[in-house]
Formats: sequence, structure tokens, C-alpha cells
Amino acid sequence: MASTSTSTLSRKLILKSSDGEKFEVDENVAMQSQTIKHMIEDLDDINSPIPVSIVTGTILSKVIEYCKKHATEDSDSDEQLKQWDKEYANNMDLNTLYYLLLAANYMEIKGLLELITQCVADMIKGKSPEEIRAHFNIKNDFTPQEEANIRNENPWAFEN
Amino acid sequence: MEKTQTPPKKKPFNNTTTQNHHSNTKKWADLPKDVLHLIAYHLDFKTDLPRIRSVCPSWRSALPLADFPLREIHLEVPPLEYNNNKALVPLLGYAINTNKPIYLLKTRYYLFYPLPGSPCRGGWIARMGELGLNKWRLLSPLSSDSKFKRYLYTDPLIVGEINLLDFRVVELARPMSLVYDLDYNAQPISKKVVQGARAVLVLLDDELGLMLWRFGDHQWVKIEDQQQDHYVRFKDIEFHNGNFYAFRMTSISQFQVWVINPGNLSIMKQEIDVPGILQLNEGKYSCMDANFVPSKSNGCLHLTIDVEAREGKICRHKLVLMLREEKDEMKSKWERVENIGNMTFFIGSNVSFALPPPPRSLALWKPNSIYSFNTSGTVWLTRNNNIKLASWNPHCMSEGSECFRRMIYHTFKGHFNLFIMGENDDLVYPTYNDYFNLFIMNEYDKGGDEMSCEKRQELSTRLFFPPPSWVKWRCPSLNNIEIRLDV
Repeated sequence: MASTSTSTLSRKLILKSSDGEKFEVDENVAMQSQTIKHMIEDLDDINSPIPVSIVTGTILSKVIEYCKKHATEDSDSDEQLKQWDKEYANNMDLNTLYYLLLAANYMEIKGLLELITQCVADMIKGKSPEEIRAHFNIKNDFTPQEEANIRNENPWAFEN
Repeated sequence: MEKTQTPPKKKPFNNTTTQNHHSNTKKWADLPKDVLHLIAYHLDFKTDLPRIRSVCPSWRSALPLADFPLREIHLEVPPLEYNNNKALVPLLGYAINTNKPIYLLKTRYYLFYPLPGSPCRGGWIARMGELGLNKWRLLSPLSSDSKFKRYLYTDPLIVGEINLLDFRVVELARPMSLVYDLDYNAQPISKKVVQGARAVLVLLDDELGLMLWRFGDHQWVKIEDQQQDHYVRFKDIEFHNGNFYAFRMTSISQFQVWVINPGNLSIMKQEIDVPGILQLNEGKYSCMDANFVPSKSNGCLHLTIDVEAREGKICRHKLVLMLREEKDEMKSKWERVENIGNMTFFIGSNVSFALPPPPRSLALWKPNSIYSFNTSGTVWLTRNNNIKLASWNPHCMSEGSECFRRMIYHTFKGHFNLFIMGENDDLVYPTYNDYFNLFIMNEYDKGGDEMSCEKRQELSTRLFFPPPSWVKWRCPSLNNIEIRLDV
């Protein structure tokens, strides 16, 4: 980390969101995204903006906030970083969480994807299908027959 | 998705995933399959996976059951020997066979209760071992180390059923036992097993002490005191924050917790000044029991110590300590707590856990109290020609066992006593709760003691027994006839 950072720290990249917003970031911040890493390898001109096609400016700024925090491995202990992650995820509304999830998946940022999927899983944990639908605003479009079949799949039998 | 080959300008997702064109109800339903998988992997395969597969057709098809293999209900471990084939030699000839394969058999404690708005009432804590997909063997939640015991003794056997989708299911604990046979009737070799992230610690019979196995190792490590060659008896063990904890008494007056680091196997010893805390005179007391209680809700490790003091009259104290952790592990120490807030401790013989405050809909257990149980006796079941009989000796009742007096099954005209359990109908059959010691912290603070028998009844938790009415019972050997338990 230390040896590569001296040569790459100064390099800046410009990321362009789907709605045209531009963000200048350090290369080591952007490189946490595997997708961007691969893009740079194919790029002739490093100075031209890199389009992050499906991610809006609002979401991209959140992604960058995460990457910046995780790019600087200064004084923060693992514990502090975990705490920061927790607060970061807790501050997102459901809508933002959704687009962040898609963005992390598309941009292939492993840590962020892990964080957000854990956060969504925590929302699902222990809930009934109906409660999950209500929480995520999902329509139940099973046919009554399908629903009956599903119910029949889920008895727990207790032998003695 | 082949992201690496995607030219930057080409969108890897179609337009339906962009913010503007996406209707809100389709959004979460259309999560990419790989993202859904990542979410599912954070969930309990047993309880949450069937639920998320029942949310909508797209989630269902994205998460086929085949992608989530059944996890093994057991773990094969190396034979019980250590230090270059030095076999464990028990002092009392305890049957340990070092050539036989040996397993860690998993069981689980679940709390079930109805969803809001359900007509069902009451909750249930059940201990069970997995038999297969959605099939479990019910076990006595209070059985001691010596043997797995059935939850109900009926003859012929009956099977209970609930629909997972209708209930909240909370996993409370996942205790394991060391066995030679993969069978819930097997006799465990271990008194208690606790699992860490990369190792397990096993408390064996008194003379055999502690054995630690790091996943993947070919051998066990015996945890022993290098300076002292006499054996030491450990009362209880637990895993907490990366370390194993073991409680023992070095002499009548010395209480010690060993903190065992599973990585480098270092042992740090913490002394606990029980007589000092309780202001007891030298030699006038003894430690009856000690149990660790981990709590998920506050993330802390607790230790309860039962002390019997003999100063004039015999007086039992229950001391509750909490581990105050410091960055520098050497400075971590056990501090007495006056009460345990809204938590309830459950102390079984090979597992203990803290129950969170009960949901408002079911006041099943009393906050700020500790449940432990008595042990005594055995239940015998005999067959007497065609009449199924269970003889029951009130003086030899097994802890946590339950005999049903009668079961009524009702496809016959009217009600009909089919199975008679017990020869004398006048016998009052005990329930699990009769065998509980309920200890209320507040009462203790006021100088009180454990609840008397009558009061115990009053405060009956019905945590384990009887099973709630929404568990439907049937009898496989009688054409799956529906059975109603008359309790």
C-alpha cells in the first residue's frame, strides 16, 4: 500500500455520473471499484471523464464518501471503521440504499456491497413474507395457487 | 454480467433500473440475482430463506433452494487424543474410545411466537436437532449433560407441526455435544461444548478437563495448568469476543476465570474475590455452581455464581458479575451487577443464554430474573402387553421430562382416552416449570431468596411446556390422526 501510494496518490480521475455530474477523486479512491479499475486499464486518455453510466450524482457522491473513508488507512482502527460503516449505512433511507446497492454491485466495490447487503439482510431478518413486502413495497404477485403451494412447502415437523 | 468487457459507454443494465423509469413496486422485486444471493447469505438458511423465497415470484426464481446447500448437522472431529497420540486417560475409567470416529452434533434453541394480528396466542421455546429439510427432533430443553432426552414421552410417538410462515422464529442458542453416534439418542461424551470463530472448546468429565480443537487441526489441545500437576475442575465454559472463558475453583476460597486465546493458546487468569464481594468469613462458604451467560442484546458476558454460606444458618447467594472489558485485556475485570435490567437469564446444564425482553404480545418470562433448574431422577417407560404404560416415580422424576397423563384423539365419536400414562390417575403430573428455580434479582436485593414452590407456580413461565395450542399434533402410526394434548 505505502509503496504504490507515492506514485499514484497525485493522480486524479474524473468520474461522471449518469446525470452528468463530475467528481474529481484520487486514483486510489476510485480504484476500490473493480469496474473502474478495469476501465482505466482500457483507457487511452486518463484525463477524460470516466462515465459511471447507471449511477446518479447523488448516489455517486455517497459511493465516493465511502471509498474515501476506506482508502485512507490512517489512524482509524478496525473498530472505528466498523462504527463509521454502521453510521453510514444507518443514515441512508431505503430508496438511497437501493440505488447504492445497485451502484456497489455495478461498480464492484466489495466492501460497500457487503455493508449494504448486510444492512438489507438485517431488515429482512425475522420478518414474515408479508412484512418484507410491506417494508420494501413489493407487490405480492403470486397466484392463489402458487401461494398455496408455497405454504405447503413450509411446515416444520417436530418428531419426538 | 461481464462487467470487465463492458465498454464504458454501454450500459450494463437495461433502462428499467434507472431511477426515473422505475416504478416503486417493482424496484426491490427486480434486484439482480447476484445481489439477492449476497443478501440471502447474510440470513439464516433455516428460517429466513423460506420467507424471502415466499415474497414474490422474481425473488423465488432468483433464489432456488439448490443454491443453498443444507449445512451439516454435525462436524467430524479428530479422535480424543493429544500431544502425539497421548490418549486421554480418565481416572474413573470413563468410556472414551480413541479409535472411534467422533462428532460434534448440533442442536438449536428456537423461540416461536405468532405474528402480529394472528389469532394464535402464546410463545414457545423449543430445543431441537435437525433431521432433514424442515424436519426436526424435539429434545428436552432442560436435559442434562448425560443424555439427550425427548421433549414428550408418548406411546405411540406423535409429531408436531407448525407453518414456518405464520410465526416469528428467533434462534436463541446453538449448543453442540460431542458424540460417537450421529443420533439424538446418543449419550454425549461432553458436559458442554462452546464454539468460537475458528475453534471449539469442550468441557469433558471432571477428571478430563478441557480440550480445544482448532478447525482443521489433526489433534486436540489439552488446556491445562503447566505449573500445577493436580487436575482442576471446571464448572463452566463460554466463548466471548474471540476468547474462551472457563470458570474453576482452585480451592475452597479461590475463584478463577481462565481466558484462553484460541490462536496462541495463552491462558490468562482472572481472580474473583467472591468472599470479599459477599463479605463472607473465611471457610464458611462453598461454591455450588457457576455459569457463564452470554447476552446478544448487550454484547456482554455475565457470570453467575451460587454460593452457599454457613454463618449460623445456611444461606444461598446468587452473585451476578459482568465482564468489564478493557483494550488491554489484562485490565478487564469482573464487576458485580445489582440487576440484569430487562434481560432474563436461562441457565441450562450445557447451554445458557439471555432472553431479550419479551415481545409485548407475550409476557412469557419475567425481566430481571434468572431461570435455572433442578436435576434428579429418571423416567422409565415400559410396555405392558397392549396397554401402553409409563410408570412414573414421583421421587425419581427426570429434570425437564414430562409425561402426559392422557391424550385425547377425536375422530372417534366423542372423546376417548386412548393412552393412559401412569397407573394411578390421581397422580399430579409435573410440568417443566415445577422443576425450575426462578430467581428474581430484585427480591434478592431486598434480602429475599429464591421463589418458593407456590410462587414459582404463580410465576410459571410456560416457556417450554406445555407446547402452545397452535402446534398441531398427529400420530403417524395411526394414519396421521389428529391428536389434541390434554394438559
